[in-house]
Amino acid sequence: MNVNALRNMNNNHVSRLILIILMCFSSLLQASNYKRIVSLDLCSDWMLASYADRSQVTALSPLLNNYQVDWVKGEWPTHDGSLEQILALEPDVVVTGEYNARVLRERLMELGVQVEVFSLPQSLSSLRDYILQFLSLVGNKTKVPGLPDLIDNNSNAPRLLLLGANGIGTGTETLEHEVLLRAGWRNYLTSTGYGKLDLEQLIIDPPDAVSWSAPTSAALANMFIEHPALKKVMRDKSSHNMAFGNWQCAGPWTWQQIQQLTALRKQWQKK
Amino acid sequence: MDLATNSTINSFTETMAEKINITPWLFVVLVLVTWWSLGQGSVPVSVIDGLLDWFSATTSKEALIIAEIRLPRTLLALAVGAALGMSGAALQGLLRNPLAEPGLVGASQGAALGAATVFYFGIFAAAGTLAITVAGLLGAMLALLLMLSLSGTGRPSLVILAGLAISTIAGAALAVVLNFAPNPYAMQELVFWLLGSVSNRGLDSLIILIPALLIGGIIIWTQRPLLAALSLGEQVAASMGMAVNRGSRLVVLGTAILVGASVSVAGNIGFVGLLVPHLLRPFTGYRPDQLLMPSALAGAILVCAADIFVRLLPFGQELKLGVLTSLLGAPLFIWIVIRESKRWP
Amino acid sequence: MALITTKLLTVDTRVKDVSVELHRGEVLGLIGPNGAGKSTFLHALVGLERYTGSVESDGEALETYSRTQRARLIGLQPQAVSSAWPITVKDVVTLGRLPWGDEDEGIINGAMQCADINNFSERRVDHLSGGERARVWLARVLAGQPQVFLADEPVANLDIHFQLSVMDVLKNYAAQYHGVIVALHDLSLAARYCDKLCLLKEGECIALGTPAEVLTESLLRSVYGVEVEVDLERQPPVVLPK
Repeated sequence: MNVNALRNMNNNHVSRLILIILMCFSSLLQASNYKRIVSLDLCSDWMLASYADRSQVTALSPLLNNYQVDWVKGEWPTHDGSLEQILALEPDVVVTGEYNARVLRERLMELGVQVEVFSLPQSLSSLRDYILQFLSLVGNKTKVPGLPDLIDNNSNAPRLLLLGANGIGTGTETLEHEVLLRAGWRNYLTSTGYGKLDLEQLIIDPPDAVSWSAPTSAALANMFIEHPALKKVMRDKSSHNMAFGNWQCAGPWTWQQIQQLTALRKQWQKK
Repeated sequence: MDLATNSTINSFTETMAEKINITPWLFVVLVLVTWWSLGQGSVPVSVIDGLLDWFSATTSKEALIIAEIRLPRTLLALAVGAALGMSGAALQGLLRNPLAEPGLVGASQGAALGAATVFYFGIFAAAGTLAITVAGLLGAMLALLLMLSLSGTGRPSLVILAGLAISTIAGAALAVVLNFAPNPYAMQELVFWLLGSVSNRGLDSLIILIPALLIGGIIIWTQRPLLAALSLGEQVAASMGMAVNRGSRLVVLGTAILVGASVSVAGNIGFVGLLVPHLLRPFTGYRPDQLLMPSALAGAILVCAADIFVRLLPFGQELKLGVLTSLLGAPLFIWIVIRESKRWP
Repeated sequence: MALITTKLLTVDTRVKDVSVELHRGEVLGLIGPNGAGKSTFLHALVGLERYTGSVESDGEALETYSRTQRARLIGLQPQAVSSAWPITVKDVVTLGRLPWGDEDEGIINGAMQCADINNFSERRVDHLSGGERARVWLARVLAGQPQVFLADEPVANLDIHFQLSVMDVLKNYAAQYHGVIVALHDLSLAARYCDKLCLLKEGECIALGTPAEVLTESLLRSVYGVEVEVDLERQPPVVLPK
């Protein structure tokens, strides 16, 4: 190494040190002081349940109890969604996603409560930033892992169908789509967003595997998934059940989802 | 002035209609509509190949599409249509009321309530579809008995009022059941129960429906003499040796079976039981006993044709069958009410 | 042996201990004020009302008859008949064959002939006048070929022409070795057509006998509460309130 490079290296070290010291101060000044956090929506509930200390959280939203997921461990207090109760809890910060509880959060802001509104991630790239913001809010120093690499040319990759209730499939330009790409799949659906599937089309041109996500209790919404014709055509193919509610939000569990779908891909490869 | 000649000219068209024996024609149309329905779908598939493969137990994509997707849908539409058509004719004969039909007297809503409660809360889950069908039957039966005790075979308007009361209560109770059902999608499915659909069903849904159709139909069929005799009133019918009370209960039972089984599988497809007997009456000489079989056939044709139409509509949010039948049936309902108000009391 | 014999026939409080006999060839008239129990009595005979006491036909108790056998024996034309559906006249008359389970053309045509409605057999009942319709209801009962014809106020709301034609049909039917019981309000018609009369008051038969025996001014006064003029010598006989 020449002298200039050495000098650069020293400068880099110094600036990095200064940055670290600054960050320590700012993190001390920041939101780890929040001790009475209230959440207004499901995604924020899950993030808090993953990253916040139990003592910091005063109440999560009533939607929490609609889904049983394994990254929410134990009992968490919930409020009933009413303005009165939330005010009575005297939160020092109220957390919600940008499309949720609009009226409620505006009322809270008017009444002088601090409300943090998070932009929910639409893609995996913004997921890390979202998690980092949350971590700083609750004063948690967990490291956020990197994402598996995107396979460049996967036109030979097998096709996975993401199937939900009411025969709705998930297409491109969704978070789920990016997840399956990183697990090494191609999306069976080439249309964008969510769309109603055509059963006859699925018979003629079946996917290589299916990952379905639907409530287990009885509903007509499950008729499509349980249709005998679909079962017959998918009999020899790999299938995977993503517990209902998984796809509702993006968060640290998204890494688990990538892992599950990667395992599915390996299972497919063995066949 | 020969009254006979004058009246002959007036009722010429009516007697012309009567001269045609409608039942064979209905069979022909039924077969055609069935064939057309089997050919409807998004993927071009040869119906004959599919059926042959299925019969010879060959697993092919054609067999799967025809036999597992289109055939159940078609048979379901036919069976439900037949059940609703016949039950409408039976109720009208029993109550001597051209407005009586399962949806208007509250039977369909009662059936939906019974079936939905058992379905969403998984009651008697081991019995599967049978439990749901029986619940639908009980719901329809309760609704009919309640309606009869409220209005009996009184003025037509009274029967419809009682039916309105019962269908409103049943509909509200249904909404409550769906609200508290464990499944988050349940509430949206209210539309299915109230407006009906035959999509996304497999052949297994017919295992209970077809026998129910046969049993209910046969029970009603045995009461043809009673339905004919009731044209002249209960007293005349009883004086001619008809067991009016027992026979009426059997007609109610048969209707409850037909309506309960249909609604528990396909939801409430309204107005079929009103439309079909009304359109066919001139062809059967207005005799209630002659109306049963043609109503069943025409009901099957109507619902199957409506389902074909639903499938031909641009692919998007699926239009519920009951919307179509209501669009056809509601104007008829209004017309009958107007006509009845002008008639001799 | 009488075609119909009732002994102490009682229907709760509406008919009390009525004992009458009806012979073949006879027309028995039931007369009395509104609510006297005429309809109830007829309904009891045909099995529409529960009763105590006995009813026998040719010595056999009617309780032993099945519903169908009873319907074949006794035919009833109730007070207010209407057809729920605009069926043809012929179809109405055909319904009369229900107790026999057939649609015998010969018998049906014969009944229509008797009631003189052949000309409009293909017309719908709602296109008929009141008088024509009354004859259609009659023909329906005739088609069942009952041994006993019960008619409940068959001439109510009919003009005098149709009144006579209906009563003629009934009289002819009785003459063919059948029995007819007819409930009537018009006492003159009763005097003219009936062989025997039963005068009912509040469910009790207070007089039973020939018109001459029953239609007396004192009896009628005690039952109807009005003065009545009776002239049975005249042809036709006249019984009118004064």
